[in-house]
Amino acid sequence: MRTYFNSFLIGTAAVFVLLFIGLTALGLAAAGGDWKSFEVALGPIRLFTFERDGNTTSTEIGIGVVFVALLAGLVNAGGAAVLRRRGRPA
Amino acid sequence: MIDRCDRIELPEGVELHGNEIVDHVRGATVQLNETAARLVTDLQRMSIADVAIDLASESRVSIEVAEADARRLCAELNSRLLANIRRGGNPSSFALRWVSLALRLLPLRSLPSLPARRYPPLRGGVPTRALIVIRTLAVRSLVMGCVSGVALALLLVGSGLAAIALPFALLTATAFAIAAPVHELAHVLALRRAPCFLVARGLRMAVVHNAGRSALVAAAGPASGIALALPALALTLIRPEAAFLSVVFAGQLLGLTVFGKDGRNACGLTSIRS
Repeated sequence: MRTYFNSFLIGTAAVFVLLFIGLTALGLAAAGGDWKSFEVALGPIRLFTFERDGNTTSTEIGIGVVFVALLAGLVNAGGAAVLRRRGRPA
Repeated sequence: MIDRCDRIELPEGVELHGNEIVDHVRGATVQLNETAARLVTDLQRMSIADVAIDLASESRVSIEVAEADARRLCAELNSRLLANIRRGGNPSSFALRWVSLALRLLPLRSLPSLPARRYPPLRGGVPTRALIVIRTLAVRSLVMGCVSGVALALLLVGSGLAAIALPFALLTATAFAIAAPVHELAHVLALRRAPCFLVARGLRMAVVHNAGRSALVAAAGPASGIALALPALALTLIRPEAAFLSVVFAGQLLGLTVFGKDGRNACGLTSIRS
């Protein structure tokens, strides 16, 4: 059980940090590269919003990042379960 | 891919004592039978082909069978990281044979295996170990960077994005060339002074150890991506292209999932290699 819990935690944390860094980088690139306003979303769940209003820009990392990270944690725990069931030495 | 003119050499930290091979770094012993122990001694000074002739003349087996046995022993010892393969033939002819075999194996989506190379145990304090890791892996990392850059460039050109292929290929090559040694360095730093050694197989690199805290040591490699991504993010303020670098660096974090070897170790799903 502990393995699955660790896999869930590690998977969630890894994907959360990855998304956070990736979206921050996207925001900085958009601001520096004169990009127009845009939004990244998974259906109704918003991941990232970039807005440009004249000389002012704003970026917002949405709650969707948490959902995606939790989902990744579940996939990771599921993967751990499959690997353990197969008894693969990995 | 082990050739008939190859020999073996026991890496530093591995010794043959009677019928046993002792790995002092991992604290492991492998028992051999008498013939295998003799072969290990012979294979250190003679090629597989020569050892096979000797073996065939002393026993009732053909040279082909003796050669196959000797080759199998070399492969087994090498896969257990107890022996390095010393190339007897011309390196360029080996490369050509590897490429031709790789082309033949392409329909099977497989590549010919490359022997592992075990480097001497890492000794000394953290700065000394760090220097050794970087020096040992520098060329391999540069090659890895070039290969990944070319692969991305081909992918982009094939996708009709030729205009951005060159800058993105250069950024990818840079990212991989930096990230690969830093990844292994992070494993080594997490090990502190515990005995360990570097292993390379083709472009793949690993740190092998038998210390405790294997989850922490395994996690240190992929987590090093954060340490690289943060300066790259700061660089994005000056050069927006650096955003891509930070994403590639942070992408190492996916290695923490069970789909990567480090991730499986970090999640407690096995072994001792990082």
